[in-house]
Amino acid sequence: MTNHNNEREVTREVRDEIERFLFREARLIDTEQEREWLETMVDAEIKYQVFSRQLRYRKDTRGSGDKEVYFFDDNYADLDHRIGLRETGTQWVADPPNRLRRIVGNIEGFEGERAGEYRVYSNCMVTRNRMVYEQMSYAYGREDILRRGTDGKLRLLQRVINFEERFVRGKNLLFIL
Amino acid sequence: MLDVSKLINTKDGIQSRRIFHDQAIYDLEMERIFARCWLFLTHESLIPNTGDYITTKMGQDNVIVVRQQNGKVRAFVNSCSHRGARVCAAEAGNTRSFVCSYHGWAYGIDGSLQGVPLEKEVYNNQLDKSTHGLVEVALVDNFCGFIYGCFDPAAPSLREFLGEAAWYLEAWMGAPGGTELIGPPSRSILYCNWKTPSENFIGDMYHVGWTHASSTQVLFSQSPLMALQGNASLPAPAEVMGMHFTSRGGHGAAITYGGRGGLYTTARENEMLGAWLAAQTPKVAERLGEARAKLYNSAWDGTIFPNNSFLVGPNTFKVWLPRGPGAIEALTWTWVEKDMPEELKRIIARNMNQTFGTAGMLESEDADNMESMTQSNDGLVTRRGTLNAQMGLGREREDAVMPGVVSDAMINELSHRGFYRYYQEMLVAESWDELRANSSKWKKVHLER
Repeated sequence: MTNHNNEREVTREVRDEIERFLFREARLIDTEQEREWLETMVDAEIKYQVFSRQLRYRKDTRGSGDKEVYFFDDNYADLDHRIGLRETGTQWVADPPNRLRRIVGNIEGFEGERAGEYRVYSNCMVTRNRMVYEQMSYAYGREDILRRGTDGKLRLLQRVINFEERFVRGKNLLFIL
Repeated sequence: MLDVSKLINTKDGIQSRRIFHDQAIYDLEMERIFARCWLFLTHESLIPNTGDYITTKMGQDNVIVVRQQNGKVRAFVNSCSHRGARVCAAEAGNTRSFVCSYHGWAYGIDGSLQGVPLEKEVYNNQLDKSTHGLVEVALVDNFCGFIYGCFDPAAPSLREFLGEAAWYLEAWMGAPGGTELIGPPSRSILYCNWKTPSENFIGDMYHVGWTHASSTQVLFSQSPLMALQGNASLPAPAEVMGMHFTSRGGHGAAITYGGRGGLYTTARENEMLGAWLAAQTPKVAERLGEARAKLYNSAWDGTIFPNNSFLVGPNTFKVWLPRGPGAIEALTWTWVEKDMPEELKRIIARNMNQTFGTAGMLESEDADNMESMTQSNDGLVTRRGTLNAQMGLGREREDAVMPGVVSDAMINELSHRGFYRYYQEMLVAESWDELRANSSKWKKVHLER
């Protein structure tokens, strides 16, 4: 996590715009309008990553190999495929429908490295209800970069999530985080 | 009374549903299978240096697997010999010692008890440290770099345990430049019995077109597996598409000829893997023969008995750790060939996690089936019944080149029947000698009608 002391906070106006963006995004994803989300809120150059970091001792820096496994390492086409699965009509895991409900909070916005880009932090709590008995909850922090397009609208350019629940008790993460 | 010899009927391909539910059967599985069989631990590539370690489970026993000064790998039960607390809380790392978090007893990487705080003052120097080392896993060995451990000192060697399956596994595990696992694993829970994913991976190609109807349509448009989409028809006779094998020790696989490549969504990625396979195939043929060069280019789903599954093509490597009759922890790695270009390794890992990782599109489709296959047997009347794995009965044969029992159809349940045959043998047999006594006649159960 970066130290934000030297980062420049966005104006109140942009802060409101970012918040509206994240809330609209949450509503679209939670109501099976991911296609609308992808087409109107996601940048074509999206980098969408969710990783899990292996638990090692603080003092241990010598161990071998990768320390992270990427659950998502998606570009625009990958997200399109994920969303496309349900549109086939034969994705049995989504039928009967899953119901998602998320709360997005702790939103912070800073000026990005390039003009028209914003670095945005937020926390998420999601509950997924599926089938008759299954209820799973997930909590995670997001580090996003939003970019203002030539049409003046914000789009999601990058999302990186360090998924801290090492042993995923919610079975799988087959939804947009 | 529990009569375990009546749970499985191999000849007719019938299994009791109780094996997915009863606590008494589960307890016997822990004793007779997980405390006696070779179980997957880790890969040489994940602990290359002295003091490198990982923690995992064998059955429900927590173990540490650690590289010794002399380069050998040993494994120990992760529990202090004093009051039983764990001596390592990390998943992996590099260390010179394991220190219990309760009172600070310290063990060397060789498992010996090295340090006891205030030893002189509180034990009056009367504690015999030499008898208080960590309990050691009796046997540790590797096959093509894949490290397995076994609690039973009387067990056959790993090579003997793998039996005929070793011939097949070498076709991919023994790639010309060697193989490695990309870690760390992803870890998630599934509320299913450990045998449901083991049997699914051991050879169920029947479900691919149906369970994965949406993902085969969207993701596999450039693969021969696309033809299975919707289970509407087969593009070629099943025997042209592939084969099944089972082995003495219950290991088995379904193999789809020519199916290893073409599983990616972009032409560039498919071409890159295709070029790699084309370049390696002559080397495989030279080392292992034409039959296994053909297998090297095939897509596989297989299970190494009891709970270690893999895919060739998607390059998934999994272990299903039991957590009682109705839950497992799924650990998932990507396997790659060591001398592949770094970019190709990353492509394989990225695609593997997108399909069979924790957010994997195919993994989650399988999970619902595995769970309902287990949970339906919570019903008393339901679990009085039996299950059917008769597909391909009567088509088993022996082959001049390929060992074990084979069947010329990749949509088949021969490997299921072999898995449960050995499963029952393990539950029944009190000793390895008793198991060895069956070795001369195991094929007959599959072959004679």
